[in-house]
Amino acid sequence: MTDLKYLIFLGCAIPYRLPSYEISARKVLKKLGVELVEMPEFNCCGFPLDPVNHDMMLTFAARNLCLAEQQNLNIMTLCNGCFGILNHVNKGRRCRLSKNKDDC
Amino acid sequence: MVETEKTEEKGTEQKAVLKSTEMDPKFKYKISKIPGAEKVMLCFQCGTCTADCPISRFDDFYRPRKLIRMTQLGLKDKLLSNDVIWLCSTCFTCIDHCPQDVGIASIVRALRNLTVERGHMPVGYREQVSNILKTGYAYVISDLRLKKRQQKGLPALPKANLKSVAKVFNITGFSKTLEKVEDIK
Repeated sequence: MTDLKYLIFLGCAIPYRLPSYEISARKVLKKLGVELVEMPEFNCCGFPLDPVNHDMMLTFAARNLCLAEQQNLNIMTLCNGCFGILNHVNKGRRCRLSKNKDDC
Repeated sequence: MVETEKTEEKGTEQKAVLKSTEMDPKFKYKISKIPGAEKVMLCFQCGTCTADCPISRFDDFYRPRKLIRMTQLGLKDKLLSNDVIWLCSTCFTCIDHCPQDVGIASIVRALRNLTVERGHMPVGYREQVSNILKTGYAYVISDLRLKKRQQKGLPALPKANLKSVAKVFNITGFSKTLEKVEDIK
């Protein structure tokens, strides 16, 4: 079995409202052989800031992505809001770096 | 130009005349420069977004089609002083179903950004922003919840680097905007 290792990104809503979701996810992932690494420096993904200031949302998400890149690991997130934002920003970054427009 | 507007009494429609002096012809270009809102001029008012919108099913005033038309016409003051734009739940159904691929939800987001720049912000968003400044997260997670986490054997919650959070606020110039914004309602 290939060793699966991810940084876990909790976001705001799961520790606040749905700790049961986190507990069950951790138990299932353990059985599936996925190792979760804690990242102590993560902040909010930026989703709540999107309607207020779009640039700030991009910076917050980019900061989290950069922290993950420093660790050279992929992010696993349980929250679909965080996933949407991080995926959106990561895609946009790839889009700007590559000249091939099909990547966007 | 004549536009029918629903008055506060349900069902009755009143005709209101739009004056050309109220319209800002450059507003649509300003909006179309914001990422996600580039295709605002492609909207041909088919109304698919409004038919699918879960908010307009329950609200008498929120109509995405109307908001896009108002943006195209440049009714800046009417749009940016309107509470209705804060009703969008960003479910992106409108974007999924739009035949012209107009990013309706992104345009609404752009309008919200401009409203905040003008100095108006709903109380809920202000609360979330101040929580992010204080703790790095949108919600304040109480000691009781942290204790419960420990009891359940969960690892400690990541603590955000507040210095860099404050730095982001300063770099994007939002901390200056935050000082002057007033609450809506």
